[in-house]
Amino acid sequence: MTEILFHHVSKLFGTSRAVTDFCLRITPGELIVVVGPSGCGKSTLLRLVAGLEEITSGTLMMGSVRMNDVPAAQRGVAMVFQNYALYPHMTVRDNLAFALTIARRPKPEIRAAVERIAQTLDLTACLDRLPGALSGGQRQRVAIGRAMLRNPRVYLFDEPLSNLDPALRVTTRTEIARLKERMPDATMIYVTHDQVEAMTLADRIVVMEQGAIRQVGTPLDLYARPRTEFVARFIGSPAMNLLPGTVVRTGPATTVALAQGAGVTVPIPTQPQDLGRAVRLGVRPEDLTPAGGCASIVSGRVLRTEPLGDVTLLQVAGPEGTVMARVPGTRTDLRHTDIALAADASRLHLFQDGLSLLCRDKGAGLSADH
Amino acid sequence: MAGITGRRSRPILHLLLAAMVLLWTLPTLGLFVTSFRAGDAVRVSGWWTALAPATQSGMVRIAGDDTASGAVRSGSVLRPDQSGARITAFGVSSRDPDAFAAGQTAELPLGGQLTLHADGRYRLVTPDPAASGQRVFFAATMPPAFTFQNYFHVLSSEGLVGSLVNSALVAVPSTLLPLTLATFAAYALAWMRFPGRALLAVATVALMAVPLQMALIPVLRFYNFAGQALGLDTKSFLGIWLAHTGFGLPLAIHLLRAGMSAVPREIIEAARLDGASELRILIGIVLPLSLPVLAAFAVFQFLWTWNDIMVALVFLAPQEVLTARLVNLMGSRGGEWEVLAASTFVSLAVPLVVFFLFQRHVVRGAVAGIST
Ligand SMILES: Nc1ncnc2c1ncn2[C@@H]1O[C@H](COP(=O)(O)OP(=O)(O)OP(=O)(O)O)[C@@H](O)[C@H]1O
Ligand SMILES: [Mg+2]
Repeated sequence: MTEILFHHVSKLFGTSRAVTDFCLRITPGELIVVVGPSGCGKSTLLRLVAGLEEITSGTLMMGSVRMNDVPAAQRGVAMVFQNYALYPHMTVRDNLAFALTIARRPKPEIRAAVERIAQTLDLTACLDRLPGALSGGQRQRVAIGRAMLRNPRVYLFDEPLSNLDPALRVTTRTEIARLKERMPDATMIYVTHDQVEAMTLADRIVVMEQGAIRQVGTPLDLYARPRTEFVARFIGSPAMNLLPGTVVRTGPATTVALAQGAGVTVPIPTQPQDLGRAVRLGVRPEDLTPAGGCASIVSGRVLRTEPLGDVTLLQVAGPEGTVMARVPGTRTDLRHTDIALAADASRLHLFQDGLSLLCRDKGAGLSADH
Repeated sequence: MAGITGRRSRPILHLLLAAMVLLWTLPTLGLFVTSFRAGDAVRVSGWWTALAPATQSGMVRIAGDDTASGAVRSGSVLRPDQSGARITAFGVSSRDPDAFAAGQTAELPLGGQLTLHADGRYRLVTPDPAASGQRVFFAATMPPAFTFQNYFHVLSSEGLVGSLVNSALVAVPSTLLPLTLATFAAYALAWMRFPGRALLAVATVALMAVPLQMALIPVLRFYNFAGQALGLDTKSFLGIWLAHTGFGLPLAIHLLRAGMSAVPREIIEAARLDGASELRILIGIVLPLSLPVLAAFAVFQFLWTWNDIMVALVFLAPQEVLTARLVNLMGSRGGEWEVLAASTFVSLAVPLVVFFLFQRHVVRGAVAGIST
């Protein structure tokens, strides 16, 4: 049961900023997923928590202890690396037992602990093999098991599933979810590139860009109420469509005129001074449905269809550029036809200068919960 | 394009390579063959003739024998040590020494017959049992003759064993000492963070460029001075160990650092998180993972210290290492090639064994050192 508190944590490599003014409170037993584009500082963040990099400025607290100067080994933190980082010259058993051996725990205790974890992770059959003789999934489980054996206060996962093939990724993901359920007290920070991992595992998701937090929230919160265009496009796949338009009526609901000329009314409040401003209307591909004539938001010609089995992705060339839509069933017949797409007004987003109009007014309130 | 030219030039490359290898190993082969030949054979013919059967001609006189009871005599014209030879032809007068083929019977000018078989056995029938010796000329092919005699000789009487022990006493500690020291230095340079690390790493590389010949005498003078100040015997093994260690360390540190840097960073960080101390990481993780480089350096250093003569002459005057012994043999036994060849091979044997034992590691480790 450890709370982790980042208080204006920054990390500089020379003069380049890898993590900038990072503020976050992770409640005990929470699983935080960190997402963001490559190079945004996710791994660096984990390494700061682990004590593998020195914090340049700010404070990192675990429980009530300031961690900035505590050596890595004494932080009670275990890390699962992307490339597993198993000791290649030791058997799986020795890999698992390494930390306990160093801690000089009695042999029978180590043996029992190793066998218990091996049982949990289904590794009993390969205990006496070298890591080189394991499959990717098995290596991943050994890496997780090695972390679990130390019984750490905090688990750090750095893209633990990215080297696995998709099928194995799904099973290992559910395994991690099960493990988390079995260890409700363990606090975890989990870095991933994978949308599904983030959405399914996270208690809260942290979206990072250029070393800074862009938004923190529950998966569904981020999905439903992205604060910025960046977050809106980062969460959800395929990414949200952004259609340029102009505000033509303000009030408790806003009407936006799109390039096509069609007016769309969105239940998002605006101020009178917003009248005439350029905005972007955000609509997720899965919210677009084929519709007849007047109610449509986008209309155009279907350039491509990508049938995925249960749904079909449509690439529609509209006046605002290419729009992605996701319609149920197999609809390859729509290719090269003209189509009109509509969406439920309550599921639309409005952005001005990259910032959501919905969050603009209570923007200060959202950042306060860090 | 490059691929095509590459493929075309390959046979030529192979030929060139084969020629170079042949040229390079030919003298060694000659030495090797010579070391197994008898001294008088070495002096009359080249080592390359030793591998093929040689033709030799000879003459024996079948002596008159007072005790012989009959007119028939038999025996062999070959000495016991020539037992492998085959007679090809023989004759009974010096004018025509190979008139008869082996196995034929020759009529003697003074009456009687002589039969000589290919294996050297003869049968002489003579009318006068007391007649003086009958001369028999013959030509014989001798099989290649090799002997371990030279090795027995040098190992038993030329002081080689003592110098062999001396060489081992020099080479083994002179290998282990820099290996141990460099292990710690290389680990620190590769994996520990401290100010001036990069500078130190560059400095060790720069030290590799210092020629031994230039540094040797200053080092010796300093060592003698320090030894006298401390009241130590300056011509002892300690001096040569220290000298070899000093001259070997830059290469050792450079090679080992390159090898250790190749260990994935995450593995070391995982060990750190697991609570391992730096020493534990070095011994438990980094050393086992950089064994090939360790082995490569150990072989290099062992060969170099084993074959060294200069440092040994300068630092170890009264005791003689193998190389110094060989030089002295050149002076005292200059004409006796078979002795020199055998001695050389005794000194070669140890490095050869070491090299072939660790050959795999040497190649891998050397490549690792170069590529980083
Ligand atoms: N040791 C280092 N020295 C200098 N710069 C570094 C170092 N480690 C990371 N960086 C820089 O810090 C930034 C963040 O790197 P980081 O590895 O945290 O990214 P990431 O979000 O994990 O990316 P990815 O998703 O590709 O793993 C990058 O610009 C990287 O170049
Ligand atoms: Mg990373």
